[in-house]
Amino acid sequence: MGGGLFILVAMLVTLGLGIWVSLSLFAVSIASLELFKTLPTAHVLAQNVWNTLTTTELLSLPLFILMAEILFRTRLSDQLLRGLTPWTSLLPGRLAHLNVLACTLFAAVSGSSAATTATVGRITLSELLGRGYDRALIMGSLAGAGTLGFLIPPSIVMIIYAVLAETSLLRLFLAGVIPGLLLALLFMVYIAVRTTIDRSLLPDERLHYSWTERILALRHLLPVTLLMAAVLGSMYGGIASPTEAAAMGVLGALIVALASGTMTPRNVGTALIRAGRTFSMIALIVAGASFLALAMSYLGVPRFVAGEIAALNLSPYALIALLVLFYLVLGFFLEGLAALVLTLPITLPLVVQAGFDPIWFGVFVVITIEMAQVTPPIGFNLFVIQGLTGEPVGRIARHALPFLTIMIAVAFVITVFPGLVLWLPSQISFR
Amino acid sequence: MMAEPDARRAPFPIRWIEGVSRLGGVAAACLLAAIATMMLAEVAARSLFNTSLLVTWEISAYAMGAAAALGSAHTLATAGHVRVTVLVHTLGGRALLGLEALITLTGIAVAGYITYALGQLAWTSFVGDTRSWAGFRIPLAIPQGLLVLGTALLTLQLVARLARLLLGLTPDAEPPDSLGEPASDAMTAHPASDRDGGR
Repeated sequence: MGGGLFILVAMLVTLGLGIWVSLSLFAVSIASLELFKTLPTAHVLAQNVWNTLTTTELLSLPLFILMAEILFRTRLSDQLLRGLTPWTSLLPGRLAHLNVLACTLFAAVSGSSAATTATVGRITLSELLGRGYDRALIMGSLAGAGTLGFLIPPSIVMIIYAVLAETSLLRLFLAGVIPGLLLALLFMVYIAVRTTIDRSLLPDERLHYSWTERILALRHLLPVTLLMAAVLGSMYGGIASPTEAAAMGVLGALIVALASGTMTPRNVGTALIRAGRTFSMIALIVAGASFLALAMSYLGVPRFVAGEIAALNLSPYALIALLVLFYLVLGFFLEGLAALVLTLPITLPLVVQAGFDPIWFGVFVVITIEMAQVTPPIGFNLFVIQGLTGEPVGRIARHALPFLTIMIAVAFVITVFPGLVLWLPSQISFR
Repeated sequence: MMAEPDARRAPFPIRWIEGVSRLGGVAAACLLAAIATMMLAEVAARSLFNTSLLVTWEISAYAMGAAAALGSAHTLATAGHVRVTVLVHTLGGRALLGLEALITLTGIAVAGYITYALGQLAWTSFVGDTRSWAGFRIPLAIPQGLLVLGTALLTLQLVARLARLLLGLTPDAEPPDSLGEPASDAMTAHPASDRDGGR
């Protein structure tokens, strides 16, 4: 199995040296095909890159990126804070729940966990820390809840998974809803229990809101609700495909920007340029990953690994436990998206062979990627929070540890109860 | 090292390449705007007139490929392509210079190869007059040619990066936050990893 070993070692070397992830993927694939196969490599590469970069399945990706860039420049997160604050006084832990609540709502209009963390965090962090809430709890809950951006649809990672695994994006989006809400609920239960046991985590302030104030505050949540309706509603109502829903999301984001007075030509231009850069970066990685998957299948790597794992006679649960461990370790070294695209050609056939649904595995793998977002030294949510607070990455990761533990628990819960993932997609019949 | 602004300006050919890369970035931004507009037109056509424009899907897909390629050079110049920087942050002095040169040279070889491969594909389409399956029956050589242009620009930008290294300048033309906002905002948290990944 020289080809597989070569790919493994070459991948470690090129990534370890610091060659860009996308170009590393291409370099290793080209070299492995040249060394182990007699194929017209350049021809195979060009056709594969062309097909990947022009597949309509990928079209929602740049649009959701653009939508997030526009929303980042609006007052949406400020409005989330105003709309949610009066309601949190009903909960044990009060405003400590704000990060989780705001991230859950924002995740429903954003496809990225870094964007969710940054957009919500730049408003909530200064507010909550200023009021005297516990630093560790606030930063940890932001790091944890920010990852919901990937699990609650729309989701950039799910778009990429759907392209690489050739599954239905709409079903995958639906499949993420219940696990996402479950994760948010467990985060809130943890915060409630922690703050009930240890009162020192909360400031000594009394929050008094009348029900009239609470109801009136809901008007601040109107923009995010309308955006959700435009994106999720149009998709699930069957009016629009994910791509069209993403375009409606861009339009909705522009309207929100217009209403909040932040739609200057400069802001729109900056959003477009930055979206172009982020999209180009991700698209090149997806193209490289798709080519690596092709190279691996030419070399018979997935079949070989599947055979080896099958020989171990693992139970399906043991296999999943092994995968959680594998992705957790990988998450320490690699950014989540890179970890996903590198391993998918191997792990997907394995899991399907063990009797799991590809849609289910999509949700599972998204949760494991969320873990990678909050594990040091490479975890984008940690970097975002470091950028906002100046706190060292290692300490933020420690703050996030309880939330990481909850994510791991949820990965096991959906393994034991796959219905949590698969029930919702099965309820919708497709045209 | 990338946070320090350049004391000296890069010489003319480098600035020229970086200027063209920036144009590529602007082109990618315009293409994204076009995709959003076309998809909105598609939604309107389908919900109001119950008809699909069809061709919007085709052109949008080609525009997306072109945007990915044309934007890649500017993304490189602004340290937007993610990489693992643990080693880069550990080394210093001549060792760091050597490592960065090795990384960039590998990049030139790979990007050059991709350009060559896509160039062959575009040429074959041009000679055989291959056209798209639907709508306007667009000659595939046009969108494929844009991909070649984009990856050629990426290769050129990598050459400019190597030249910067050899001249003792910062490897990246602009810090990731050159557009006036902190790099940790929105999704472009990715460039931040390039600077902070190893700490």
